[in-house]
Amino acid sequence: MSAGGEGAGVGPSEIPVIREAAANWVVLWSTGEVSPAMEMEFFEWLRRSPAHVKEYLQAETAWLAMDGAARAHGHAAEEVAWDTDANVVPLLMGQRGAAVASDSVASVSEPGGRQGRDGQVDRDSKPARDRWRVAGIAASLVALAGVISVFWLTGRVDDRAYETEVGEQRRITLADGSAMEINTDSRIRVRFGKESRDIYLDEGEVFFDVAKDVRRPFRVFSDTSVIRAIGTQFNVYRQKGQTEVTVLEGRVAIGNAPHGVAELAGFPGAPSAPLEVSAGRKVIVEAASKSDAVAIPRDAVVDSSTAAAWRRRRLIFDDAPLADVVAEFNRYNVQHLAIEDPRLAAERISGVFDADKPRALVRFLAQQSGIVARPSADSRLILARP
Amino acid sequence: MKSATPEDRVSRLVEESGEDVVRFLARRLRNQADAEDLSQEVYLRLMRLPDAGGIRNLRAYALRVAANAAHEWRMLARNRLPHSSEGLEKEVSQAQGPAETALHEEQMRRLSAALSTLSPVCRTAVLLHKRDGLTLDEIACRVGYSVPMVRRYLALGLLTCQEALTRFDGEHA
Repeated sequence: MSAGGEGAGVGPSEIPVIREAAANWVVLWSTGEVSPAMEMEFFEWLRRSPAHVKEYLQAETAWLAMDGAARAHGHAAEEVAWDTDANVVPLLMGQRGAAVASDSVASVSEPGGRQGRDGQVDRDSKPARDRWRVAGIAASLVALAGVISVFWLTGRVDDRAYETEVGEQRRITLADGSAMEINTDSRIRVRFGKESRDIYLDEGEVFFDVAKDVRRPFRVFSDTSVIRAIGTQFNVYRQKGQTEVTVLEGRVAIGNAPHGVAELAGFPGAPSAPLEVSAGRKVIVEAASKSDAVAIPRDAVVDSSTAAAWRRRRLIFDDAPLADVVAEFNRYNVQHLAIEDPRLAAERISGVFDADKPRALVRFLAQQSGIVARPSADSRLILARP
Repeated sequence: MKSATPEDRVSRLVEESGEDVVRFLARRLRNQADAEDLSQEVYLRLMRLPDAGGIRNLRAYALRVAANAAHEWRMLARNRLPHSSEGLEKEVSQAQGPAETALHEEQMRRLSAALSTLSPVCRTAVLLHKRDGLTLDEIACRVGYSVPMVRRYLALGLLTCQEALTRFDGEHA
């Protein structure tokens, strides 16, 4: 008896599932990754019902139609700026390996690269991702030492400071198993004790992956705010006058800590209630005065692929003003870009960019909008329309 | 070597110009009722196979079956016999008339608009693959995501475009 006989009838609620499966099959076939076993699976899936056949055929035809649309969409160099000088063939499989190849070639072929950093040529030529790997190994050793010391030295206060340079990122594993990824140009202090695990974010941006420890709250102090978490993943970005908190997993509570005291008081207007922020949401806390902060939920729902993309050294912009794009790049690079024309500053761009490649952004802007860059007296690159 | 049968010719056709076959099918599938009927017919033909063991490329085979079925239908609708002198190859490679071209251009505009609604990472993955022909590994490297994630983004882009096409077809039925 053949499966389905005349063709198993499918209810309307099953169509989206079938449609999604069909899309996945089309992508698999298109990217050339179908093993003989998968081919059989495909065939069996196709034969399950006429609805499967229909969805598959419609997915294939839509996929084909996208060829024309993709070519017609926008300009030649749109959307992704990468270093076209590098002429890279990924030497190693796997993202990190391939990226290292591209970075090494780039620094050789790009004399302008990062020469703002005198006397640090060695560091420049060592790709960022190598630093990640080394830092990872070092961090594991630190973590191991930390775990051992927690066992034998309970009660001792751990007080340590970390600092990253422009363009540097570091991953630190803390004594409790929590992980921190510290972004460019940041300064933080870690103070773990018997009663609490406290982090002081003095400047910059950190992504936290907090290990559960119900006996000790995990608290991050940023300006006059305090963020408390129990087993979550969240990102804190402290800027002048505001702190941005994005929660990826779990939830955090944000309160007012005007004297740096760990009282999780609420904000003016709701003094008894700290603000709870759950996964997928972002909140901006603005310093309204020296001792008060106001929490403003903004961009309430966050696309988790964009949030903390910096951890992959990617900057993602969705219709963002060029001024913001330039400001972001400047956080990660000693070679600064600048815009003098306010109309140019307000122009919008979208795309996925490599944080380490401001010159690639410049090339992208040149191809996309005819914008040129000229060096200024203080070694910045000024972007302008000719 | 025995002379090529119509089946062989079509099989070669699909493997050499799979795109043309899909384009041909797209024209046939535009009407939802036709699409359902055609899919039913293709399904039955696929079920007649005891197993798929001997077939080299199952995608090409499935598309060939669909193209055959569509062609035969058209022949029958014109009161002609299938496998007549109006071969499937000719029908598949038929160029479009001016009316169809205008419709096609509008369709492309709609799809382009649909692409603009995708998230930056999703749109980038689609453009890198469809426009620039990069492999999954290359795209993963550029955007900083894993290969499975890139695959998911491509599927998401496809589903969004498919939705736009369905709406478009609905308006021009």
